[in-house]
Amino acid sequence: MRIALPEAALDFGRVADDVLRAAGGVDLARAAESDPRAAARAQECLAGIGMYDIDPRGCLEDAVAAAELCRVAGGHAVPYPVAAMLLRTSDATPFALVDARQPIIDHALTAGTWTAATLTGELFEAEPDAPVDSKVAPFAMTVRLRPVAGGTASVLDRRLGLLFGAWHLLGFGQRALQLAIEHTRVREQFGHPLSNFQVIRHTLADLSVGLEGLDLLCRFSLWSAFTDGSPSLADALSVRLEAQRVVKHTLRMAQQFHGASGFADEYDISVLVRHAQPGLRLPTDRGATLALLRTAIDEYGFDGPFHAGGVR
Amino acid sequence: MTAVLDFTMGESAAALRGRLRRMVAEFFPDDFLGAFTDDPADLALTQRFSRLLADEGLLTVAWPREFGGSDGSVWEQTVVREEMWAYHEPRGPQYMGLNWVGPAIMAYGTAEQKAEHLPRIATGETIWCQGFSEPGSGSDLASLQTRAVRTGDHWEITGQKIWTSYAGMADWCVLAARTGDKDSGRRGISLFLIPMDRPGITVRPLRAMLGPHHLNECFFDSVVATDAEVLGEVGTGWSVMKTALAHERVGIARYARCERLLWLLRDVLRHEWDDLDEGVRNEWSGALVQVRVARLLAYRAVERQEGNEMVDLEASQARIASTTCDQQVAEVVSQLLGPRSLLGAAAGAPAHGAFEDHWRYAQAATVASGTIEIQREIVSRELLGRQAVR
Repeated sequence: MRIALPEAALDFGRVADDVLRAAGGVDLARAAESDPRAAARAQECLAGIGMYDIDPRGCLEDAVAAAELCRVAGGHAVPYPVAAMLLRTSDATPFALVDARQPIIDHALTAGTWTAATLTGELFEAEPDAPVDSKVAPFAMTVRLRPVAGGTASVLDRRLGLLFGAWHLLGFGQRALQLAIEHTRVREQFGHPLSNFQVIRHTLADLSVGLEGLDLLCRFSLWSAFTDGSPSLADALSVRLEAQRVVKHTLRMAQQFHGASGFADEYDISVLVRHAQPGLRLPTDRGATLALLRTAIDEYGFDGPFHAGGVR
Repeated sequence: MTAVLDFTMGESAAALRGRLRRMVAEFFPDDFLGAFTDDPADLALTQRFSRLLADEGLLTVAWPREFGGSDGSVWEQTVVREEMWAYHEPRGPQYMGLNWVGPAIMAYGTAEQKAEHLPRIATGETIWCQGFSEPGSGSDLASLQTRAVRTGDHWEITGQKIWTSYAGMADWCVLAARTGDKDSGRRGISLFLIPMDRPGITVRPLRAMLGPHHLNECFFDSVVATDAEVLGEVGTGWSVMKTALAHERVGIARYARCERLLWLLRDVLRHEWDDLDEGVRNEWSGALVQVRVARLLAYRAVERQEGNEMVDLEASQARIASTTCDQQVAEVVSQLLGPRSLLGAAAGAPAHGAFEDHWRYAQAATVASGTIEIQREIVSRELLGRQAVR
């Protein structure tokens, strides 16, 4: 059993965090809503730390580095499709999972052509069409899909698409909890810091349990993506489901604890809440994820490695 | 070369899991629901099974060899915890002696205490109970008022304990009493190892939804104890209790029974499964995810323990996940069973009443061995005191 991430991956994450923080952190995301050069700055930072040298399909070690980069990028709401570029199918063709009935891709303008796949493996070429024009998805666009004749997205690609998305959301959630802790420690009402109130402390505790559990499930399912030889997406879907449950709730409560400030864009929590929405809703909302998970469990089970050595 | 990540427990742990499952399947009837039923034969069965485990060297897998154990890896210990809880704790009341009373005596006991108690715990001969909670001291355990007064060359203990599991069947009790003055708080508590047949001890069972034998009141009326029966130094009982409760937090592998019952339910309902409400079937899948999360949080606490790191935060997080998961699973199972969830074993309940039994026990999960509110206090203190270090 090895649950702790290797030191090399943690180091890589720390370097990425330092570089992105020095480039402005969440300010980059804030700026990108009106200035496309912010996305370019984010890309330069990511290229500078070696993002394009990672081969996440090649081995678990690289996949862990890629996942950690997604997590760190989520923590700054980096205005660049990190997971999609890590899974690019050619030098300039990012890879995204879509709902073919309503295809939308976040940060779609990053490339003129995308490789898109549904969770059932249908493969498409996608071209950006029109912005969705929403404050909660400032970089998302509808896309036009063209089927790739005879093409099927591999199980590994679909697993990694789901997993990197979950690691990305984990980063959003961890940062939101950190902001909630910082804010409730210093914000005083009724003569006390908010964190003196038990209902706030206990909510923070529950949020931390959710995020720690999600963190571990992310690690487990990444390991499973490389060790489970079946075509099952159950482990990857379970992480997406848990990320949707935990991160949505964490963002909501962190925003609540900020009071009215939580809706003001000068506070990071407001930007994080908005920019996390595409990841929370694309390619499946929680209900659709859950239904897909049940189908996958019906077909392939959900034992993991924990029942070796005997019948249940 | 060390793996980047690895979620397998190793061959010996996997083999142990298979062996334990075979032993349980061969020894217990399908309708076994633990030792604490109205049928005394169930308790006797667990006592015999404990001796069988002892004969096979499996009762004290976790213990060091010098005390009759097998020096098992933390993952072998984890497998034992999981398999025993999954199958309604077939060691019955031995759980407490094995899981923390024995280890506490190893750590804090005198040579005489070790010689007297450890062999008999290791062979499953004695049943222990834990006299901690009092009517006025639940979560605020350090306020306990049971007094141990120095009288000549011995102690006289007077007071009341409550919610004492197994007290009616126990041979021995680890009894927490105040040896300092009434305001001495944590510093004034000592632990005594007292035989339950000593004059002055009265046990009264409490009727409870958990079933017979679980909850009891114990009255101590000038019960005599000797210096040789003090565990650790006088006045150091709190630190021993804290260690004990830390064991408790990762000790009960609730997720293991949850997972078994979810799949057992699926099997019980196999002919009607596809016709059941799709939303509830979806929630059944979601419950499996929560079970896995609880399992992984427990494993992380175990891994930290293995590295001799402080595990207060991790143990409490694991316990919050495990106990809330227990209640979530109980609810999902009830919804899938519908009115049948109300049937008791004698009325032909599905799986001989295993689901009804689980629902009742799950209600107590967020209270027993430290309430969820106390766990949240521990977690939030750590969070607010320091930013989590990745």
